[in-house]
Formats: sequence, C-alpha cells, structure tokens
Amino acid sequence: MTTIEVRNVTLDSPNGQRLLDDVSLSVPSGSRFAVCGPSGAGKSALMRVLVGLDDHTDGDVILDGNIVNAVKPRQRDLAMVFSDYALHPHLDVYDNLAFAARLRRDRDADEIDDRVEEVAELLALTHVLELKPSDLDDSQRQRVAIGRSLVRDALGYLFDEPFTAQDHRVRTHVRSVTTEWQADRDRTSIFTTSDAHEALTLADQMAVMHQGIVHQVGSPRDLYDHPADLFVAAFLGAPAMNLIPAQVSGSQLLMPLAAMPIDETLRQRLGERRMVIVGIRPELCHDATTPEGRAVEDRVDFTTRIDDVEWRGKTQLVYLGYELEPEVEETLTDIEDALDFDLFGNFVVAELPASSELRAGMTARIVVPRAAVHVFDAQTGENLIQG
Amino acid sequence: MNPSIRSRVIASTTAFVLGFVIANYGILRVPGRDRWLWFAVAIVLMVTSVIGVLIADSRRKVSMWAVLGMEMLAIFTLLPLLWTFTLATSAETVTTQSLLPTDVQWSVFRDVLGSDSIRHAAITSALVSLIATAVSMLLAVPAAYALVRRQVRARRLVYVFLLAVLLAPLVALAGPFGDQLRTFGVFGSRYVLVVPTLMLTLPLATWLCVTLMRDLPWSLRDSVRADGATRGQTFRAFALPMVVPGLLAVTLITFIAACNDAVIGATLTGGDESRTLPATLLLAADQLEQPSAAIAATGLLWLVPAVLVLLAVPRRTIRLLGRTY
Repeated sequence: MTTIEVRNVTLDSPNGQRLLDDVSLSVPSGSRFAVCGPSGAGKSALMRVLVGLDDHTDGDVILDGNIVNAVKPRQRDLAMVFSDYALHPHLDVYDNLAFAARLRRDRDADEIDDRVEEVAELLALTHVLELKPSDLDDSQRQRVAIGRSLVRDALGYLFDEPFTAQDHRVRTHVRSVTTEWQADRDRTSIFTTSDAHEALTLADQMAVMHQGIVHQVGSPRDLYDHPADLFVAAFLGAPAMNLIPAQVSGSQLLMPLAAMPIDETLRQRLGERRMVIVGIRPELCHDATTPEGRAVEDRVDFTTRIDDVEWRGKTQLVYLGYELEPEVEETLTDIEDALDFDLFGNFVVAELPASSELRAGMTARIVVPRAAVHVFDAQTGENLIQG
Repeated sequence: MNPSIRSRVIASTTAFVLGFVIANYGILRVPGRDRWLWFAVAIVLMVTSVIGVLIADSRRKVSMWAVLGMEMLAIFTLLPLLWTFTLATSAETVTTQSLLPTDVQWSVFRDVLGSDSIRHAAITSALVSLIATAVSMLLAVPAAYALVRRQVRARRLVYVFLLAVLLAPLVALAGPFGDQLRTFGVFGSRYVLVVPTLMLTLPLATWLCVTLMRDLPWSLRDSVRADGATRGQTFRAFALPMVVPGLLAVTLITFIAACNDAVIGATLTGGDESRTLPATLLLAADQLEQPSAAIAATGLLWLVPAVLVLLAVPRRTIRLLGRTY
C-alpha cells in the first residue's frame, strides 16, 4: 500500500533539454495508473525519476507522504521494468528472474525458487528457464523483464512500455497476469504506454503527457468524455476525434459543411474569440435517415458527397471531405507545429454501423447531438465547454 | 538442383581443382621431401571435394565453402610457422631451401634464451610495454567513459584525432621526438621509450575502450540499481561480468601492440642497452652467429606467451569486443 506522488517536478537533460516540465501527479495507493503519450513525451524520464535513477532538477517526489528526493533506489523499494528489458546476458532466464529477489535477500532460497517457478508458469517461461536471453525472442525477453520484477517484493511496480513486444494474442494474457498479480497483492503500479487504447482499458487512473508536460489526469472515462484540451482530445480514441475549424459569425459557429447556433453559455465562454476548433467523436455521428439519426433532436448536421467509406467489420467509417481557406489552413498548421502532433484532416469522419448503406459518391446527411460537441480555443487548445 | 546442392558442388569442384593443381606442382616442381607436404595438402583438398559431392544432397547443415575456407586459413597460417621453425632449427648457416626441417637442432633456442642481449632486449620490451599499457589504461578508461556516457563538446573531433594519431606513421613522429630527447639529455634510457610508446598505446586503448563501452548494456546497470543494489553489488552484477573481461582484452591487445612495435625501439634508442626486442631483431641480423636462425627462434619463442595468454583468458573475453547480447 503506497501512494506515489510527484509535485512540480522538473527535469533537464545534461544538454539542457527540458524532459519534464512542472509535472504533478498523485497515484492513489493500490491503483493501476497509466502514463500515456507519444514517444518523447517524457514518460520514461518520469519513471526514472520515480525509481530514483535520475535526480530531478526541481520539485518533490513523495512516497507515502515522505519526500524522497535524495533517497537511494534501494530505500525507495520500487520495482521497475525497463522498456529495453535490461536482462543479464550471461545469466540464464531462471537467474535473471531470481536476480532482484536474491540481491535484496528479503526471502530465503526456497521461497525465491517457488516464486520464480510460479511467475515462469504465469508468463509461459517454464520451458526456457535454462536458456540465456540471447536465445529468446523479443516477446520472451520482455516477459522475463516483467517476471523479474514480479518475483521481487516491492512497494510499487513501475512498468516502462511493458507490453510492446507481445503479439496480439499473448498481450492480453500477459496484461491480465500482470494486473491480477499486482491487484492480488494490493500494490500500486504505474505503467507507461504510447497506446492510448491500452491506457484506457487497463488503468483506473491515467495521465496524458506530451513534450514533458502533463496535459490531463483523471479516470480513463473522464479523460475520454471530457478532454481538457486539443491534445488529449486528439490522442485518445481511434478513429481520432474530428477537429474542425469554425468561425464565430454573429449567433452561429460556421464550420465547413455545417453551422451551429451559439447558445448563451457558449456565448459567454467564447468571449471575443473569432476562431475556435470544434471537436466531434466519430462514434457520436449518425446517419440522419436512420431511426437513431432521426431521434437526435438538438443537432448539428453535415451534408455533402461521401468521399470514401472504410469498412471495419463491426462499423464503417464514412469520410466527408471539405476545403479550407488558405489562411485557415495556415493557422491549423501553426497549431500542429506548436504541439508537434497531427490533429487535423480535411474531412469529417463518421463511424456508422456496418449495416449502413451509405457508399462513396452518395450524398450523406450526418447528424451529431449538440451536447456531444466540444469547442476548443484555437490558441491555447483549452476545452471551452466540456473541459 | 537447389541452391545448396549447387553451392556444394561448386565448392567441391574448386577444392578439387586446387588440390589437382597443388599435386601437379608438387610432382613437377618440388624436389625432395617437401613434395610430400604438397601431396598432403592436395590429398586433404581432394578428400574435401569428394566428401562435398557425397553430402551434396543431404540435409546436413554444413557449408562446403566454410570447410574449404577453414582449410585455406589453416594452410596460410601454419605454413609460415613451419617455415619459421625450419629456419630456426636448421644447422646450416645458409638459408635453407626446403620447407620441412631436415636436421633438427634445438641448440639455437638455448642460445637465444642464454643470449644476454636478447634477454636484456626482452626485459626492456616488457618493461616499456607494461608501463605504457598501465598508463594508457588508467587514462583511457575514464576518457572512454566520459566520451560515451557524458555530454562532450566536439566528441566527433576527439574521435577523429584519436583515429588520426592511431593511423599516423610513427616513423614521422619519432624523428622530432628523438631531437627533443637529446635536448633533454635523456636519449638512450630505456624508460624514456615509454613516452613515445604512449603515442601508440593511448589512442589504441582509448579507441578500444570507447568501442567496448558503447556496446555495454547500460540500462542493465540502471536496472541493477533500481533493484536496490548497493555500490558493491552493482560492481559485482554489472561491472565484473560486463566490463572487466572486456577491459582485460583491451589491456592485452594494447600490451601486445606495444610489444610488437619496432619503430620506436629502433629509432629512439642510442645503444644496445635500451633497445626493445623487435628493434634488436630488426638490427641484429649481422651480430649473431646464426642470424636468420636466431631471429626465427626468437620469433617462435615470442609466440609462446601470446598463445598462453589466449588459452588462459576465458573465452568470453575474446568474444566480448564484438557483441554483448
């Protein structure tokens, strides 16, 4: 039972690059916390600071209420799985699994042996216990890396990209083994991932990071439904949220293909802004000719020719293309450059049931409930109505 | 015909043709007992070719090209050794014409080992190389660590200089250096040789250490530390198995390179007293009774410690300079 907390932590690399910028997080005891973001977000840097390998430039790392900035990794007692596995090349799998537990001498040899056998069984490594890491494939090496942290008893577990090398089938199994192990023992765990879906499905609480900054912290559902800014909105969810530039014009928000009346609350939030970004989740779009579409009352509708239809088995994606003024394009490119992330496409995507009969070339009317529309500030990216 | 069969057949044909040519050359041109040596090589090659044809269609995972290559390698390494041995043990003062020794005389080895000048030169060589190697390693290890692990401005420039010094002809640097030694009045002392030898060993050791440290699995060290290892435990779990064998190998290579250098020893020494072993060999051709035999014998004796070292050092050390996983 350990709470892990960082308060205003900043980390600069030796060459002066800012890896973590005023990061604050609080991981409740016993929870499964995901730190998620694209590569280079500072996820690994955060893990290294937590476990005590790198000294942060500023701020506090707090374990169970105690500031541990100057405390050595040994006393912090957090187990860490490295994204490049970090196995001992000259030791066989058994010795690799037992390494940390033996090093800490906190159990006797028989206990370690039992635990190694148990973990090897769980991670399907029993038949490779006598092999060296060089004889294993990547997926097995990664499982050894996970296993060696489980064999050891720790206050908390830090996993840096722990499932990347597992193929689809094994991944589910390894995930559930790891999460159950940790849940059974009521340990706090933090894992990093660049896969938003993985974070959304596995974590109780999560943080979205990018460029060394924490953009939002909360439950997966909360982050998905109420993204605080453009980045979180674009990063979580596949297909990604539609982000459409809109001009404020009198009592309306003018988008390509559609217009939305501005109500009193929105009017207040908009203030003097001339341009905003409208966000709409593809799965909340409906075909206006179907019963679900007709049932949507207060709505925004997009009507145009369908560019393309992408079939996905359970659903299909309908693409409605549009053109933008050059100066609007330029503004959008500036926003993307500042965030170093792709946000915009020149189309609206609607995720419709596979039974939908819309095809490329047809004219479609796509409707969205007004309550499902996000409005973001074009400069700061802040969510103006639902954040 | 699948590619593996074709490859084996071509390799066998090559082996056969080689064997055939060697056998014919032996019969037609080589007199005396050496002919049997040529025959032996020819027979080995032809047997190889027959085996190659016989197993051409089997599922055995043997590359005939590799076998042929190994045989050629063996021939090209062993023949010069045999020739050196023959030279060393021949009784005649004239250069012998045959590859196989006719009348083996061991006395030359005794002479060499008993010779004061050679013993003195060997001690000089060993002393100079030892000191130079020790100094180089003491400087190279921290330098390489800094180059690989720390932010170093103009790192590339440092590498370029390292390699440039490594590739520069020592002869060109030795002349000016000798003048300096004369100015300081220390020309001729054996310990002075350490300094120019550093010119050779320091960049070599640093470069090898850089290669070694670049390939180290550094995240393993982090992981050991994250596991809660103390300094001592980190040393035992990471440095001892990962770094020390590699450093041993680098030390040996540096030492051997220092030992083998003849240029410094020959150009920067005044008299016999301070000459190194290679330099002595280089210049001794007309000083000993049996010049060529003595030189060959010294060369063979020189091989003994090198082979002993290679046998004594664990196999992992020799492998370590390449791969870590």
